[in-house]
Parts: sequence; structure tokens; C-alpha cells
Amino acid sequence: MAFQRLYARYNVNVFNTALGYMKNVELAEEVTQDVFLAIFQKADTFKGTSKVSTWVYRIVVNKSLNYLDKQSRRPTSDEAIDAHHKIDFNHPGVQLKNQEASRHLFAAMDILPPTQKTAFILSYVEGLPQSEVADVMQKSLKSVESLLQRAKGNLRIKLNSFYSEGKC
Amino acid sequence: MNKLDNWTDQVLNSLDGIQKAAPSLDLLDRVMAQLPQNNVMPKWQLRLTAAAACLLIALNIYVFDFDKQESSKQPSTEYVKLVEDFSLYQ
Repeated sequence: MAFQRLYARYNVNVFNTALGYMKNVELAEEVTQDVFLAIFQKADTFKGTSKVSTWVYRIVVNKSLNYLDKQSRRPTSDEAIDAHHKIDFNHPGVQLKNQEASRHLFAAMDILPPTQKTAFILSYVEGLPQSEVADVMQKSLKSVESLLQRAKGNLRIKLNSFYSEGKC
Repeated sequence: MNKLDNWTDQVLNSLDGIQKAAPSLDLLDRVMAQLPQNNVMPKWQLRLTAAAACLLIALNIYVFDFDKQESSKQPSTEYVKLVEDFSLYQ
């Protein structure tokens, strides 16, 4: 079945990208499920003007941002908010020697606006070349470079605050 | 470069060499369970079936109407004669 082949080809990319946003395996799997359902339902609307991978990445980025948006609107307790912003997410693909540092990086990513976060996740978590990030985000290469620079600047500021608060 | 800058750079570079994370193996089964059943008819097939049904209905109406017209054309005398022929007990 074509759908299963598509799943086999893209499930890791979809899940890994979703995990970058959600920082939770169960939620990332939920997003992955939603993405493949959307792919199944919208397959006949794919016009072939972009690469399949670009189309798939656009769906996962939109779904993940929608999930985060819904989460932030949902009235939650202070404890739940604290839990979300905790410095405790271990991405399973990070090298052992970098795990402690990457926990701070993922926590700091919460402050990034959606476009900067997307450029950062696609480039550094998913490892896409900037040209493909630009295609997914429907922006120019220069815009992506600028988004990444601003993202790094904002992360540096947040990391400095972690450092001064003694959270490292 | 001070300690803070060192630490910040180390954190910012902590994703170097990151491997992609994979979902659990049963996720495909969960996705498949949520898909609408596979016996969904493709649109072209649905249209073809609808057209065939319309044609069939139209043919039925035509044949029914034609039959009605034909039967009304038959002379009534024949019918009377037939009735007379069967009047066995008169």
C-alpha cells in the first residue's frame, strides 16, 4: 500500500521534528499520528509543485505549532506550566556527552517565536539544509539565515539568564 | 572568553551530531486503526456508478412509458371480443 510506504519513508522525520517542538515522546507520537491522518486525507490535494518531503514537513510544522498554541491557550495550573518549562527534556538522539547541555537548550527554545523556533528545529534538530528549510517555510534563504541568527541571539540571552539564576 | 560564554557556546553546540529519534514500532498500527476503512470507493468509481444508476432509471422510465402507450393503442373491441369468448356460462 502506498500509504505504508510513505509512512516508512517519513515517520522518523515527522516524529523527530514533532519531538523538537513538543519535547515529549507521547505528544510527539500524537502529532505524528495526526500528521499521517492529514496526509491520508489530503493526498489528492498534493499538487506536486513542491517535493513530497517539503509538503510533509509543512504539515508537521503546522500541526506542531497548532498543538503548542492550543496548549498555551488551555487554562493550566502553575505547576503544569512549570513542568512544561522544566529543564528535563532529554532528546534520545543527543550524544551522551551533550545531554546535560542540550536539556538547557531545549528549555531555552520555549522563548523563541514560532518562525525562529521552526527555522532552528528544522536546521539543528532535524538537520535540514537551509535551502530546504527555506522551501518548507516558504521564505528566502536570506530570511532563514536571519531567523537563525536572531534565534541564536535570543537563546544566548535566555541561557545567560539560566546561568545567572544558577539553573546550570 | 569567560566561563559564561564558554558554557553558552557549549549549550548552543550541544545538538552537534544529534541522531534522529524514531517513534515506537506500533505507531503505524495506531495510525492504520484511525484511517477511514480501506473500502472507500474512489471518486471516479462513485461518479461512474451514479451515472450508470441514472441511465438505468431513465431506461426503466422510458420502457414503462412506452409499454403504457402501446397498451393504450390496442382497440377496445378486441378486449370485448376476448371477454365474450370467455363468457362460457352464458
